[in-house]
Amino acid sequence: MRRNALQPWLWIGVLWLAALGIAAINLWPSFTGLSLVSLISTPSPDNSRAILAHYSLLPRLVMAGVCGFALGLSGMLFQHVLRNPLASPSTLGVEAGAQLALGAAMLWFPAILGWNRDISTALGGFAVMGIVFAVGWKFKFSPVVVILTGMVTGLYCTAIVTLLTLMNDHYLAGLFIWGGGSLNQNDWRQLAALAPKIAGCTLLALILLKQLEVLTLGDAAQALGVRVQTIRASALFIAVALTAFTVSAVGIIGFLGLAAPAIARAVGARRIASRLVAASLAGAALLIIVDQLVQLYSTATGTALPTGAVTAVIGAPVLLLLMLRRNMPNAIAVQGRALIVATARPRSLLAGLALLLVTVALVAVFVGRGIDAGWASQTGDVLRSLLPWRVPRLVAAISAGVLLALSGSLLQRLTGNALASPEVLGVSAGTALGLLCMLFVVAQPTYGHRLIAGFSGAAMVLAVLFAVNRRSHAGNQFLLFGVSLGALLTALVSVILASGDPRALFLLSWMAGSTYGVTSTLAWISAVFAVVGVALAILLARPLQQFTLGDVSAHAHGVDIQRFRALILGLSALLTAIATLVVGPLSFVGLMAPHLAQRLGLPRGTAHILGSAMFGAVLMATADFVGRTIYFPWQLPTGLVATLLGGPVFAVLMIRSSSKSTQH
Amino acid sequence: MTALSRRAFLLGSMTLTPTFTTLRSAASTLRVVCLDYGLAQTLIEIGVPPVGLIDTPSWSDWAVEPPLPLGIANMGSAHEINMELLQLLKPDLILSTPYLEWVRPQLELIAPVKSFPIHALGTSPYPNIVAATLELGRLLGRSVEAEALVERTENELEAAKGQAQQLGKLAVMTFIDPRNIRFYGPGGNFQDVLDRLGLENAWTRPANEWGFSDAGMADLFEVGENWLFYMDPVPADVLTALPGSPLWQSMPFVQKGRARRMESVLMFGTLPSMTRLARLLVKATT
Repeated sequence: MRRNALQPWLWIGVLWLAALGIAAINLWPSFTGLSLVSLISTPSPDNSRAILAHYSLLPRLVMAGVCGFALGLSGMLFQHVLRNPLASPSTLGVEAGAQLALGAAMLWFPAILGWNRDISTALGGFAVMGIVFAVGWKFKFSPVVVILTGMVTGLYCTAIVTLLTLMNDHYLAGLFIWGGGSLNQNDWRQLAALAPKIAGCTLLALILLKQLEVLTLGDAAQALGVRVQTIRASALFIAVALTAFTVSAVGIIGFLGLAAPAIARAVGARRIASRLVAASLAGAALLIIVDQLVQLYSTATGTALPTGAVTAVIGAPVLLLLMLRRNMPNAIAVQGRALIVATARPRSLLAGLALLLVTVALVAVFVGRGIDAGWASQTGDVLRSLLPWRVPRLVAAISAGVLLALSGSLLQRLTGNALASPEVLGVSAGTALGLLCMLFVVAQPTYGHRLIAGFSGAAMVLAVLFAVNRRSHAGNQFLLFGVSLGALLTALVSVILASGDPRALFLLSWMAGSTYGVTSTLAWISAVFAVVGVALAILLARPLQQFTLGDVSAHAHGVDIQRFRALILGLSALLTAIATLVVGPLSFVGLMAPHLAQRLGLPRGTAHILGSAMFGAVLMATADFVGRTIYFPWQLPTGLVATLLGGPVFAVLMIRSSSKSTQH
Repeated sequence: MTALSRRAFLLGSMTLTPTFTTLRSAASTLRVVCLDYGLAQTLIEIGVPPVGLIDTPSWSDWAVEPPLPLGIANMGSAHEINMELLQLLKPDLILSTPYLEWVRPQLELIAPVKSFPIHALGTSPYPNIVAATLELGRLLGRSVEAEALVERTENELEAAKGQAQQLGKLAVMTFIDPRNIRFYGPGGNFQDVLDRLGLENAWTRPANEWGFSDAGMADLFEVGENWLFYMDPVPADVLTALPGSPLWQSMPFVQKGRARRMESVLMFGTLPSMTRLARLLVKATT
């Protein structure tokens, strides 16, 4: 027993030894010959080595430790309170909110940045927290609702940031560095400002420790007279504050808030007190290791990489391996089984949706804007010359919407997990990674190159998914894999963007879901796949229904679970790959459309599949038209506009139907 | 030998020769849409301003010279060009860059497309810029003007050489934010100007294939006592942070009074950008 209790601290010690060792290797050449006094005290202006060590290297080392500590603590608090190992500053949208606020301040209120950069970022972080809190409070901080709200809000913020960047790519170069998390320091001022805030938050967390322990009891705590909601809210507040302060100081340090608690758990820390300490220490050591390695790399090659993006590139696969090995005893599936009343007349609802789709499509074909930017409904030869620009992208957008919605619908049924969608599963990210690799191999990629690369990426993810599938039956494994892969992709892209590589131009617009490179051939291929996809999904609807009742029930009904699961995964991965090549990996239609269909009264069977597909189509068709005309002559990427349009509708429906179910 | 093969390469890439032959005779009314700031600079200088250009509102912030004539349609961002507007403008020729090759099939449905590789070819961009200028002149029936532009640039750079000499060694950079900076080095347009003016770049680390490298504020020490020019636009928080930054204040070039703010010059520009940089450098010596 005693050896068990010591084991976590041995591992944390090893981690710290590694951190200090790497720091020594990196800093030794700069520090040799300098006395300890000259490092700590203000150096004389003529001693450039001492100045460098005192104002840059040393504060950077300490900053890495402090930020890693804060993020580790923050992540552990999130995960404990929400009882969800996927919770982290990133999955709750706090980082994205802070980033959006910084982008907005850069563009419209540069004076704020001149005065105090931290204020705008902290405002953004707390604003997102406010939204998540407002919704969370209403639902007694139900883990599902909080995570879902956080994710959608975060996606929303990221979408707006991407849009701002696309419109102002010259100005926001700094945002990428910041988004990538740069730990460069010029003096001790920033650290002096950050450290007391982090210390304060840590103190508050320590005060809450006893109550946090009680939370482990779950609902029984309520019976003991503990005000569960207040404890949860306070702990979440501390966690968000820790993130907001860190992020406003150094930017997004991707994945650290997710990785550090995972390490704490993996090394065997059991009670919440030891987990909080282990996660903080692991976070600090981890960030020091990565940041010192980044510096070593930079010295060797002359290329400066943003540390925060590198943490994600390294952290994602490591975390994945950890989770695969441990089989996740703490995994709690994010169940979305709110009580939803099916509509009495699914046919008329579907007919209404179809009518809506036709109307939107007609408007998208006939209405546009002229050279003078005035609204116009073109006819005759002018219309004929414009059709090649309107029809293919509309067809492609609608097809992609259908394909993603089907894929999302299949995955949500299969896993019984409300967050399962092609975007979360990581197939979109896999397609994107394939494309990314291709960009560095082929100098001037054609559409054919992209098609092959995208498909290979998706196929690779598929292969790994199947490998995972054979080992374990837990639906959450897929989600975790997808989340890791998504983070990896985001990190790689921010590394490339931060390096200012002009190839990122293309990457960025595709990521945002631009349909303007779509040829009519590709559009019609996608359309054929969409029709076939609908047919296949309807065929699979009945056996899939058994899965919503659980594996055992499905087995009892004679479904060969393993094979069926593989079939569904393969199909949804294929559908996703085709759609992703058209609208990029960030549209999140696959997450939203099945939910919309469900919330409006089409919860199951063929009607659900048709409804989801129709919602996906309507969403994308509207996005196509809006993106083309609203900010003329600027063209907004369809996938991004779909996220922006669908987000509020999604949120309203979530809140309304959930409050209905709580009234019961 | 290399000049010959480059010429052969350019000729070889001219797959649309018949169309261009007819274009040349009607050069006075030629409608060109330009998807690159650098090429647009050259177009304006040789007297064939484009009818459409990407992101026209930002021109005055980044390219500045030559001033943009009125009445040029905004084609949207380079990420997503407005195809409908492009169709409605009915251009005779679309000028593009290798980074937009992936939409070439779509662009070619509207008008012939000519793309000019200038940057990231493993050489300094100057000869590529000169070749592109002459090629543009030939295509658009403005060979005389194009040759005059090349000669004018050579003369201006030569004239600036004498006065710029006193700068000796210098570095050119931009602030990305208060802690991150971007230096311009070999492989970029700015290095060409330094070479022409007989100036040495004080930033000696290797640059990427586009001719720049990112660094932290502490790396500024490597500039030593040489001149340092930081280019517009400078983020607002940088301007407020510099005076109180002990690191910045202890830089040798700051103590010698050799740090200067400089107006913006397009880093992926063509000949007009090069003369602009030379002029700004000369101005700094007075």
